[in-house]
Amino acid sequence: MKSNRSAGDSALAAFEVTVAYRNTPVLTDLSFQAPAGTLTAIVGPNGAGKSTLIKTALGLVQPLTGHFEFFGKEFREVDGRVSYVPQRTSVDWDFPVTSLDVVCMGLYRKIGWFRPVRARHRKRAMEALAEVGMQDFAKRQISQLSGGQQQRVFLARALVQDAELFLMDEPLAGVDVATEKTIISTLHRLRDQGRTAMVVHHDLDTVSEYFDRVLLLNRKLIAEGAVEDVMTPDYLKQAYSGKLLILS
Amino acid sequence: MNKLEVIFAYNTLIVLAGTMLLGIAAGITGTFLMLRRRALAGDVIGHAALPGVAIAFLIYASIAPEAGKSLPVMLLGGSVASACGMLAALWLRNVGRLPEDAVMAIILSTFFGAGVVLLSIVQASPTGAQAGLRDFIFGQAAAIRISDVTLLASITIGTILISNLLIKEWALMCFDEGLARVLGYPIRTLDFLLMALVVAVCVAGMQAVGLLLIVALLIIPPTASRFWSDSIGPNLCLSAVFGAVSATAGGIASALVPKLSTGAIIVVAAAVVLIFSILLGSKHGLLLRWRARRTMRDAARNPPTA
Repeated sequence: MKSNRSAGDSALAAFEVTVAYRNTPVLTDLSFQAPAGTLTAIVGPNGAGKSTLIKTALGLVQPLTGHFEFFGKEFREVDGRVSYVPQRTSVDWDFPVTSLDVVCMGLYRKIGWFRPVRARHRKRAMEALAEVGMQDFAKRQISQLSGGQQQRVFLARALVQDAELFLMDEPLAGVDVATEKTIISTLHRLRDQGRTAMVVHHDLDTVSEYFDRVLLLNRKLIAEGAVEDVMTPDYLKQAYSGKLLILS
Repeated sequence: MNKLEVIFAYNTLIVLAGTMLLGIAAGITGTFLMLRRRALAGDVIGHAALPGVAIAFLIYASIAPEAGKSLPVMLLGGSVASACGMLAALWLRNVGRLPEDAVMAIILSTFFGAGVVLLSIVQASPTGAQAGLRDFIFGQAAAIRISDVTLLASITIGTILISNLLIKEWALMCFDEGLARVLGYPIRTLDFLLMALVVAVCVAGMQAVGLLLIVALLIIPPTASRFWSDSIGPNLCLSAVFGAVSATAGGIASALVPKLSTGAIIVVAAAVVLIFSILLGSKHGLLLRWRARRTMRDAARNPPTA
C-alpha cells in the first residue's frame, strides 16, 4: 500500500512503521489511515502487536522506522486532542486514590503545573463518572472496585480529557455485561459527535456489532477497512494462521 | 544530671530537632518512593554513598591536611557516589538486560564493598583514625551540631515545598506513567527530582541514622501510614509524623545512653510504630478485620428472623 498521500482528513495515520523489541520485530512496515468519526477495532492473535501499535503511536515505544500522524500532524502538535486508555492490568490498583482522584488525573494538563485540583474540576470529573454510571463509587478507593468498574473509571478519565481521538487497549477484557454495554454506547455516542476511537478488541463475534472498521494485524497489516470487507474467512485465516476454530 | 535534665539540655535539644526534621523529610520522600515502587532504590543510594564519603575525606585531607574532616565535603562526596550508584543501576538494567532486583543487589554490595575497602585505607592514616567515619555506617545522632540542624531544616522545608507543588504530577507518574507521558509530562525530570530528594535525605541522614539503616526511615513510616488511610494527603502527613516520632525516640535514647547506636534505635522505634499500625490501623488494621469477620460470622450463624 502506498501511503504518501496527505493524511489531513484521518484522525490517525501510520506510515511504514516498523517496531522491534530487542532483536524481535513486532510490527513490520505498517501503514494505515483511520478516518475521523469512525470506530476501529484493532484485531489479531496474541502477540500480533496490537498494544505495541497503540504504544508506538503515542510515543511510549520508539519505532525503528516510519512515523505516525494525528490529524495530519505530529503527536506533539496535537496536545490534548488524543486520549489514552491503557490496559487495566498496567496500573497498581492498591494505589491510595479514589475513583474521583483517578478521573481528575485526566484534567491535570488543563489544571496546569503546581496548581491544586479545585471544586470545579471535581464537578467535571463527577459528571464524567455519572456518564459511565459510576457516580455512586466516586469516593471508593480503587482496589474496592470490580474489574468492570475499574475499566469504567478509566473511560471516565478519558472522557474528561475531551479528546477527539481515543486509543484504548482492551477496554472490554474481563468486564461484566453492564460495563461492556456502557463502554460501547459511550463509544457510539462519541462517534456520533464526530470523534474517533481505535480499540484493541479480542472478541471476534462482536466486532461487526460494535465497530465500523477493522484493522487486522499479525505482526504486519493483514487487512484494513470496513468490517464486512475485512472479517472474511480468508483474511482471518491469514491473521490467525489456522488457529481459529470457531467462527460463527 | 537526672534523665529529664539530660533530655532538656541544649545539646540534646539540638540532637532531637535534627533527628525529628530528618524523620519528617524521610517520611514524606519515602511515601513517593514507595508509590513509585522503588523501595530498594533508597537502600542502593544509602550504601552507594560510602565510597564517596571516604574518597571525599581522602581528597580533602590531601588538599587541606590541617583542617581535619569537613562534613559538607563528605556529604557532597556521598551524594556524587549515590548518584553514580543509581546511574550504574539504570545502565546495568537497560544495557545488561538484568532483572531489577539483581541489579540493585549487585550495585548495593559492590559500592558498599568498595566503601569498606576505602574506609580501611582511611582508618590506617593518622588523621583518618579519629575522623569517626565509622559513624557514617551506623549513625551517631549525638554528633549532630547546630549547623547540621540548619542543613536538615532546609532539606525538610525543601521537601515539604517540592512535594506540595508536585504532589499531583508525582502521583500521576507513580500511578500511571503511560498516561503521564501521553499528557506530555517530562517523566525523566520528575523522576530525577524525586531521586535527588531521596539522595538528599539519605546523605543528610547518614550522620544521625547511618547509611546502612537510613532506608528504614524512608520505607517503614510510609508503609505504616497505609494502614490508617487510603489517600495520598493523609498518607504523607502520617508518614511524616511516624518518621518524626521514630527518629525522635532514637534521638532521646541516644542522649540517655551515649554508646547506643542511634540508627538501630530509630529503626526499632519505626518497627514498633509499624507493628502498632498493622494491629490497630483504622483502615486496614488486623483488629478491624477480625472484628468485621466476627460480625459477619455472627450474622451468618444467626440469620435475622423477620
